[in-house]
Amino acid sequence: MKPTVNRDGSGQRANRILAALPKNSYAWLQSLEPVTLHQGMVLYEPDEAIEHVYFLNSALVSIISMNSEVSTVEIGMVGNEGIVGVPAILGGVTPYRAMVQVGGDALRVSGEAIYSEFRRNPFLRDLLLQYTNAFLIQVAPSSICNCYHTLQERLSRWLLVARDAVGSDLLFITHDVIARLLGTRRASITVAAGLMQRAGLIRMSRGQITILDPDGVEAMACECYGILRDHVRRLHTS
Amino acid sequence: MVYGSVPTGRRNLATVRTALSHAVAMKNRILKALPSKDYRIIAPHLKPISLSKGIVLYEVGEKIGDVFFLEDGMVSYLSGTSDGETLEVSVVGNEGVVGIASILGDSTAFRCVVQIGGRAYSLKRDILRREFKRCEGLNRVLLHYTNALVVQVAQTAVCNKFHSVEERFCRWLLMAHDRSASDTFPMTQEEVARVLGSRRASVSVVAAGFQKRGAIRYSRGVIRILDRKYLESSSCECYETIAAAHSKVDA
Repeated sequence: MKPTVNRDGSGQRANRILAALPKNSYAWLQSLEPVTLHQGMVLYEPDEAIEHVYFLNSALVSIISMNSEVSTVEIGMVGNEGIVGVPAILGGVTPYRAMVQVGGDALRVSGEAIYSEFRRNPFLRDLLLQYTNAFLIQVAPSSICNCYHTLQERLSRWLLVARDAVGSDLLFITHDVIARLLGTRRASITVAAGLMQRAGLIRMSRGQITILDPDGVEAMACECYGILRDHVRRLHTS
Repeated sequence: MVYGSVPTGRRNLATVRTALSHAVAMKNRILKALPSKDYRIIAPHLKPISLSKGIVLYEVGEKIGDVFFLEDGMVSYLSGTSDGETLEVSVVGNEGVVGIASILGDSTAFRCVVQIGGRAYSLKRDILRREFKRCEGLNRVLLHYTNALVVQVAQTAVCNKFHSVEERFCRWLLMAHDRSASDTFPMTQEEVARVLGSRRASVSVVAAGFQKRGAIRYSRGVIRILDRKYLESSSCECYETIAAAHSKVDA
């Protein structure tokens, strides 16, 4: 499946990196191509040169490690705070897959075009380097979180990070997908999510989860959520 | 920050010597990978120092003052929970630079501790930032290193999630061995447990198994690597994944 190109001239810049660029970047911004990303789409494969990088407006993309088909785990998540394709600006590849979890709008540009603009435009360079740092900081706690925190805490963290990244209380996602991202079994997710539904924190229906009480979910999440949120906030106020 | 620096008189001499024969004398792979034009700009600012085990180079959230190019030895970035649990999120040896966060942002999000003592060159963070913007070669190498570091951090997370203490300990020993100047380094079981995010008792059991098979000798808090091949065959694929990412930096 390929991303659909939007010809209606939409593609408003909800992406926070693009929104932070000064006006003189306008010409370059016009060269970005608005696209719609659909759930399940793979944006890049492990060790593959990155064809396009994506500035997300409303989509949610997971960076996934695939040790084997059965043991997959999400190492990071990208929403409107960032871009998919950091390795392209660093001049390399990574052994991970980027996959769309929640469909939505994005703006894309070829890997080569972002690389040359990154070198030319100091504002874009600083924003992308700061984002790289934030991404690194996001990936690291997932290590400690996977090691020490309960599935209930991790599921709560995941739902909140996804909600922030998409900017919506409604997430189109199945238990099966969440299980693969958290590196656990589907049955365990069903149990943990069932408990949250009975407590009135979330509502589940076929392939959808609605967050009804974000504060309640936050109370159930491990401290990792607060750490991640604060880093994203700092990124956009500095 | 307290670390033993080389006496001033010898420092100048050492700087001159390294500037003359950088490709030969240097073990740090970032410095070695620099085009000589960029190296000549950086070299006068490099200060040879020795880092001893246990020194904290940065605390969480601290603004970075100096960055460190290690010649040998190993530095750990540690993450912690509010309950006092810790876990190593990445290591740096002569393949990298300690304090790369200074070119990306301002401060580090992790505690940074010398795990295996060794020699290094320190450089003012402001000089690194300035030259990172001006020197094409330095810029390219540091970005490549950042990419490899992202892989290392991510792969360590994956490894902690899926692999046994035995596999993780093997990976850690191999990474430490690659970075250490000798087959022997001091590291108590308590310290190993802290970097692996495991309990001391589990480390003790695994270490006893390695000793029985003649892979390591472990006594009084000192590890000696005896059979690296055995460790390579018992490690998970994460060691290879991380080493492959770093080998692309100076390829």
